[in-house]
Amino acid sequence: MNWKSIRLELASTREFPAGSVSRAYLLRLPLDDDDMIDEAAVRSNPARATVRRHWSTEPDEIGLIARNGGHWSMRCDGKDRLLYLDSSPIRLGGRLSIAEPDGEVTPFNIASVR
Amino acid sequence: MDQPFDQEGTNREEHLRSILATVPDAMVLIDDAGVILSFSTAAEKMFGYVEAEVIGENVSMLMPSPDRERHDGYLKNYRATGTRKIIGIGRVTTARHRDGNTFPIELSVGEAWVDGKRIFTGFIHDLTQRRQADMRLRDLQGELAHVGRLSEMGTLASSLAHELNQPLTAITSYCQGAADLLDGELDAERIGMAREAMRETAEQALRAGQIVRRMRDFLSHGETEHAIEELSRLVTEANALALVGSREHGIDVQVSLDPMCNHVFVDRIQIQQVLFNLIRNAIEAMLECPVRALTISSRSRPDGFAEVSIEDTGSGISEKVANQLFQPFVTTKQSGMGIGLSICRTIIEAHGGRIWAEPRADGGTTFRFTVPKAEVGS
Repeated sequence: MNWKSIRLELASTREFPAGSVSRAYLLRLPLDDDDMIDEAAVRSNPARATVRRHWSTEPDEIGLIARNGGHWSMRCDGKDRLLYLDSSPIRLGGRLSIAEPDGEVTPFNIASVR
Repeated sequence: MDQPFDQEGTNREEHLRSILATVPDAMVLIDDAGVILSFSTAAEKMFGYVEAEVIGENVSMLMPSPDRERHDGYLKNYRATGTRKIIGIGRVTTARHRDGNTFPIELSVGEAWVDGKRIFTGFIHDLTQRRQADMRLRDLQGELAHVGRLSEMGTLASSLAHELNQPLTAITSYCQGAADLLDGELDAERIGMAREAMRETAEQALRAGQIVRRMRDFLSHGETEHAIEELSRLVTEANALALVGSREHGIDVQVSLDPMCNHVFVDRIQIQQVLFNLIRNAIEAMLECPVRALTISSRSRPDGFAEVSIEDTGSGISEKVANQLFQPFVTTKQSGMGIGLSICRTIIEAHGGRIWAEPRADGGTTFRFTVPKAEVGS
């Protein structure tokens, strides 16, 4: 199992046409050989799959990532956000979307995988 | 006609740019709302962002909580009151790299007016770069403090023993005397004498208590200066210092402080010493662990105290050690004296607070202590 530190940065949206590096999530997840989330590894070490939300002038949030109801969800301070991967691998330069608790879906760039 | 002036201006600007490009300190220019206007090459290297990415962003993105969410308020406060808390003063604090890790910095801020607009220039010196020199200095300081504390404790122990011996000897002889008196036939005189002996015993015991209290007062009031302090500042500075040299260990630091108890009435140096000790212990406890997350938080308690927690995801504390954690000379470290936590307890108790440790459900330890809140008029 290969635990990685993955940084997601806000991609182009209507509000931020150029994206924003100050709106980011840092995920710590185990990736398998195909760069997909290793579900078994998360299950055997759930406390290690963490997420940190660093959002411009808002307080930092920290939480855990878990598999719930067929989705990967991130729970920070009681708020659940869904991670939409569309079964694509987590690789530098890739993209994924996050659904906010209010249902709004926001695109993110995978800015680094270390 | 204007050209020579322009040329001169351009040359000067070029010259300035070339100087700034070689300065190892990062330079970040912001407007009075905190929006980044310029980001030097050294800043790019220090923080991991390219200038084009951060121009127009709020400078708070370079800070961890609680400064991140409070920085707009700091600027607003300065615009409203003109009270300088950092400009021209400088301070040690923490910054955050793009990779999420925090690192200790020394920040100096200058203020200027350009075309009628106020701008601030931040010069940021990465303290991890000075690590080796600093670590040596710290080792030296550590040794000195070690020797100092040892001799202090030695002196304290011998004077305590000496002073306590007198009342203890008196108590012993009074008790023996009373016991002898009560052995024989009991008449009014004997009972009266025994009663007198018991009274003397109680008085000597009180005296012994006074000696202990005086000694503790002497220790705690020696050089203390209690004042209203901002807990956020105490935590930020102590955290920055404790993180010196630990960047390569990749420790996730999370600070979340309750604004309801930001003002505390404490001796700043002593409480920073406590925070420093607890944070250093937490970092050391996590070095061998895969998850290294440090959480510093506070909450306001209804009893007039602020409770500060330092949580780590380390290997936890064995039950054997847990029971005597705050006793002097108890240690699990190869090169520790085991007086760090006992000093923490002395300091916290001198503030009227309490310090204790709790195991975390998923491993690791939480240390908590309380200090008195300060009432601050709005």
